[in-house]
Amino acid sequence: MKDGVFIFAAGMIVLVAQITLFRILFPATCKPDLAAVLVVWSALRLSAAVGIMFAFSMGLGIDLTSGAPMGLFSLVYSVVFVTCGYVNSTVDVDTHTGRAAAVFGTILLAAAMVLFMRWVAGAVGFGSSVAWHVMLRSVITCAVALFLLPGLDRAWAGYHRLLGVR
Amino acid sequence: MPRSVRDVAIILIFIGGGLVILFSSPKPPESGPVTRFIYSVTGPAQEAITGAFARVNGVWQSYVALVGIREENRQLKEEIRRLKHEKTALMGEESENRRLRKLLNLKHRHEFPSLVAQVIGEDAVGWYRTFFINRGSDDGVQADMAVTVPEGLVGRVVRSASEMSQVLLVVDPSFSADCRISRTRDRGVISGSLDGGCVLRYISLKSDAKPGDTVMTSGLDGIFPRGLAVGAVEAVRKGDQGLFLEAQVMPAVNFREIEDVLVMLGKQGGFDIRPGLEGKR
Repeated sequence: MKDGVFIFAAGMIVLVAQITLFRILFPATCKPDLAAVLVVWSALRLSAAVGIMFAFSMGLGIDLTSGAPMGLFSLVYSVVFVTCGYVNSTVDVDTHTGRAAAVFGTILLAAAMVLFMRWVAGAVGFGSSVAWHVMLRSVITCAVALFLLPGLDRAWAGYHRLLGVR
Repeated sequence: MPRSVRDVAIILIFIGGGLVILFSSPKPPESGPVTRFIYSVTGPAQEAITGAFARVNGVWQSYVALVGIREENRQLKEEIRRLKHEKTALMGEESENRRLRKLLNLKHRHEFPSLVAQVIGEDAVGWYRTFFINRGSDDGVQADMAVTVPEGLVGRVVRSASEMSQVLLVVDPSFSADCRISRTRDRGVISGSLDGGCVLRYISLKSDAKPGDTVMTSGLDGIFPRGLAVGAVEAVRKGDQGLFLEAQVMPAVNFREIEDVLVMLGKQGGFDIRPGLEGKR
């Protein structure tokens, strides 16, 4: 329950920042996806029940606040949560490289799903710059994640100290 | 010599000396020997005293009197900061005033009700080209309403909550609208492109469209009024199947700079809002 409060509060802050603050800081084509970073972090730190609820809800929030068809990001983030959790149980993902790879893979998966849904919806000229934009966005999100993930860890530890959670 | 005689002699000597000096002095522009002597004796002393005074004065002005100047300087800086702040605020208000005036002009050209709204947010992830406005169903905004600015078409409302709505931009590939090339009158369907910009598809192979031609809404889709500027043709090429032409279109609107938009509350298409027609209504 307490974990849920923390992660959902963090999710709300990230969602509002992505809608409002990032409009000023980043052009739309290379805006980092902090929600994906948060989902990766929750896969490494939270229990399966809280984490999957958060991943699905965060995806739903993104679906509602972007032009995505309803359910697309709910699915993507849920898949990312399960995959990261599974991979982390077999290989230690909780390193700088592992985290960066997880975030990079998440953005690539999200991009693949978005482009697939666009392709299914109708004639879309993908163009040569799309791959470049996807790579750029993945790299920028990874770079932001390198700062955000340790920050989340510190906030998480502080939250635990504050509440006396063991 | 008696004392009285000596006193009188001294007085006479001084008075006589004074008279001698007085009458032996040349006219004012010239200086006599006594003057020169006095000057030569007092000059250096005057210079020394004046110099010393100037130095003391300089020290006073430079250090002691600076206490007041520092305070004055602080006040002036404060005032400059306040004036700059006021100037920025006035410039912002002037800019807003200009934008709203342009929107008001556009609103007057429409034959159906419209609503000014502010852009309050952007697409959460950036994979799609949407933004949020601060008007929703409480204000009468519904899905599929056209959204414009004085420069041209912005997009259409896709979702509407009670106090805010989401607008799909012309540059998103999910967007589509029936358009005409204004010079040739050829029709096509405009939609966004993942490369950025827009593409006008399904143009007749016989079309004479050229770069620079203006693309405008046709009003035939039932959503967008006729005559809204969409952009300018950049390049024309044959479509993938070779059955139609495609034109790369540069949007008329700079989407990053939009702050206020006009939502057309009527869903009726086919209205002509070209400049100059408003007087004929």
